[in-house]
Amino acid sequence: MAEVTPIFDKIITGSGSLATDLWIDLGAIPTGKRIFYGYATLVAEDKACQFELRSNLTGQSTGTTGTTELHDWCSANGGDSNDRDLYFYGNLALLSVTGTGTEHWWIHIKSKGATGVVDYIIRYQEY
Amino acid sequence: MGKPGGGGGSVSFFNLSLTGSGSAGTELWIDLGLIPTGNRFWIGLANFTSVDKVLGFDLRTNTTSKSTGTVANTALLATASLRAGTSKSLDLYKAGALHTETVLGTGVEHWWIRLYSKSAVSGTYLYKISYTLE
Repeated sequence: MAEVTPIFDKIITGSGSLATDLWIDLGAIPTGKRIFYGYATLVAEDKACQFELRSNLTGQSTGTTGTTELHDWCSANGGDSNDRDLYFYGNLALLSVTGTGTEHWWIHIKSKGATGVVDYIIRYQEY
Repeated sequence: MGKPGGGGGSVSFFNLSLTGSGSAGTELWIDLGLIPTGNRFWIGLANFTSVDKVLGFDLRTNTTSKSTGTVANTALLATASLRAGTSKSLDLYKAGALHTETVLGTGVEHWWIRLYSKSAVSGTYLYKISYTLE
């Protein structure tokens, strides 16, 4: 009988609200490790949103486009969700920088107009 | 850890299923049942349908020693939001890259679908969960 070893054994979930711009801090990248992205579901509960998965460049710690690297992006209509396969049966390897104790990983969300709610679940491992 | 249903010939990993339908307003917790003591439910595929309004679907498991359907007493396993008249199939196994499972049962924990909506108007939902007992 074959053996199964789950690769992406960590889950991070949460939610937030935004008008036009929101940076969600997913936490510090552990020192000596990288975030290996597996799968993500991104929910725009009530208005169209654009989602970006980003991580800090080496030595940076703030959530801005100038201090982070873009790994993936997608858009979801209001009331819709988007499932992102970031591994693709081993054909992709989306990795953050190696943590030095400073760097974080982020979701950057952009939208237009009134306040809306977003949710997320990301499957990953520390590599 | 062995794949359920392993062996020669045609194999169905996730050999059990739960289906249901009903109507939901702004929030509804569907109790999928008790997690047997000493076991976990291992989930392969979730199919969700929202017939006539925007609906959010969460698949959740009680955390250890909890038994009620609340956000605080459960952990999120998968989520989706559906517009009216759409369906989504969530692959929660991904050819072995994911291992989506409930908490280990101690005799009190359940697993759940949480439905939520901004609209109080009644909307029809359907679901099918393919899983196995581990």
